[in-house]
Amino acid sequence: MTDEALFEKVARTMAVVIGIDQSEIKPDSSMDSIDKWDSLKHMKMIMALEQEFDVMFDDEDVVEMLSVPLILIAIKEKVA
Amino acid sequence: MSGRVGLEECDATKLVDVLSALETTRAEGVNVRAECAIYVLTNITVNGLETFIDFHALRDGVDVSVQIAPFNVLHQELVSETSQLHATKPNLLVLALGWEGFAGRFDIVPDDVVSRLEGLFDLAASKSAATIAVNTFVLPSAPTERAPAAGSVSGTIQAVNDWIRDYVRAHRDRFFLCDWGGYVQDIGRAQALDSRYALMAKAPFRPAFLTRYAADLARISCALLGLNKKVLVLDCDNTLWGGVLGEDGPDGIKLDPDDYPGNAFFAAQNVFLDIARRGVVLAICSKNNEADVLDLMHTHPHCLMQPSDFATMRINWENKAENIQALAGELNLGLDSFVFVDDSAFEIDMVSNQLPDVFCAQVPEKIFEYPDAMIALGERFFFAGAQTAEDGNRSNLYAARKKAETAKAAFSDTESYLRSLDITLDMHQAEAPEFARVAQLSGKTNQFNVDKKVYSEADIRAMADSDDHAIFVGVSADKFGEQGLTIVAIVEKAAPTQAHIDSMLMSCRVFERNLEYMFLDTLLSDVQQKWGTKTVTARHVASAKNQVCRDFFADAGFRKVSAADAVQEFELDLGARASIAPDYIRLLQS
Repeated sequence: MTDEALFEKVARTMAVVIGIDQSEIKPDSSMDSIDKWDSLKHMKMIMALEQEFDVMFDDEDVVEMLSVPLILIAIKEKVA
Repeated sequence: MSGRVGLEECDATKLVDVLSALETTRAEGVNVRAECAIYVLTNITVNGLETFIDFHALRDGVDVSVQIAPFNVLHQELVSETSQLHATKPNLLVLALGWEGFAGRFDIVPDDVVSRLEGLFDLAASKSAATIAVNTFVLPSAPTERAPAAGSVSGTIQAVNDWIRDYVRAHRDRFFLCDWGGYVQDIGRAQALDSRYALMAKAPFRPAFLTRYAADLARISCALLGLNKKVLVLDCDNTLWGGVLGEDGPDGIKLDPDDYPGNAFFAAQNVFLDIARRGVVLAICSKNNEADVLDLMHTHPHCLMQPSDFATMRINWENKAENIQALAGELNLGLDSFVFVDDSAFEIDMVSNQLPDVFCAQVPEKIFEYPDAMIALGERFFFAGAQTAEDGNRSNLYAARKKAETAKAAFSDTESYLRSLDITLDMHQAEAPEFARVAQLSGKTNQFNVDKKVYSEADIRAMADSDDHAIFVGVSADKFGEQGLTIVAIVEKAAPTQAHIDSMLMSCRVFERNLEYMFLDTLLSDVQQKWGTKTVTARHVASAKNQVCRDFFADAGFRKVSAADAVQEFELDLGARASIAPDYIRLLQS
């Protein structure tokens, strides 16, 4: 999967779970820049990302994936 | 993953799919039958449950609002008069209790847990007017078959679970049970549970579990709102048994419990009867001869279902949507309490188009999936936990049966439905490669066969080659696909200006489309042109199975010239006839 396709899929998954327009998810978005991305949404989002990419994140990843760049890194590690 | 996926088609375990389907459905507008407020008290984290409940409930027309109370606030919410719970006044109160929060130690004894549970359950029942859903606890490790020793953690949990079941049984007017242990067993621990989140966030359940739990809660909501389905309408051929009774005969249908695929149908009958025991009304809607079906039920050694199992039957050759509409009038129940099972995509599509409130389920193409699909259907729509309110209704429904004659059905417009099907009929004289099929149909078609004569391929070839016979065949198709060569007529030039319809038959696969009228109309025009025919004669010779076409020639404008019913003779003067071709069937002549 190309970086663009990966970002596209991550952004779509995040947008659907957080309940915002996909255009609001930028490559540098983080929990600080998106108000509706709270801790409950975060857990749901991890669930959804795990389903969409068929991966299982490690315990540290789950608490550290607080921005789009960190999410992309964690997924790349798992699907590589 | 984009695209418009509806609630029925989407993968119910996938969070993103479920959220997208919900969004699409809401945006397009959805028929909401009722609203339901659900309040969840819990000592674990069930994040995501609200989405799955929303999904399962909306699938059945219930718009839910789900609130999950703050973590581990149980008694306070119940006791405090100013709590969010009491402000909400939910229809359904869910107690979602994890074992760890109740007993975190290996040496706790069942009585301690039970007394705490009993206190909580009684408190919930006294402080809230809601229906209450409770759960069993999940055993810590897989092997449930092994009898756990008393005093072990498994033994303690099992003892507590037994007590919970008894409590719910004793309070069935208010309490429902969600069997968490059962879900885990069914889904498998790996798919159901997440030890990482269980320990990190007290969130033990994966989406596969949550969606299963949510489906149960949605069913409970339907049940308490009185929205459970009440009537299961069943087709006969390829639904109650394999094969077509009118064609294969009682000895040819498949229903043998020791033989595949008969055993799949035998198992399905078991499921239907089990559903009926929950107080659900069964009905038949089938295109068949009623006497044949009743006879089969009485005499077939493997037919479990008996006429007395059905509150009412519509076994005739009429349109099924109209029949089901009439059933609703007769039973005095809304169409939204009906579920209809049939093997034919045509019937399913027709009924769901004309009666959108009826839930239609098609028999799976892979017959081995049929029994499980019916179990799931029963779980979804005829939830066993909801039987108490319904049990009493059944006798009323039987009484309603007597009102059949007075039921007035507001029939929908069948013609406009047929118009939407893009039906085509390719009609031509039989050609050599088709002779075998024509001969085969002459032997095996019993229902729409005006005067059954079994011809060999050689007979067909001889007639096709002769100057005084014409063999017409029709190949039909509609938007569902091609049905193939399904209509045949053999016409004989009986005199210089007279032709006789020696045979006319049509496969039961294409009933109810009025193809026979298009076919006959074209046939009459053709013989008029080809032979200069002025009068056409025809005959209906009654058999045990061909009532369906008894009035066909009369309906097509022929004059009955004999008095007898067993052998009816008909005649038509071609000079004075009116067209009987339906304008919604497109004729392709080759």
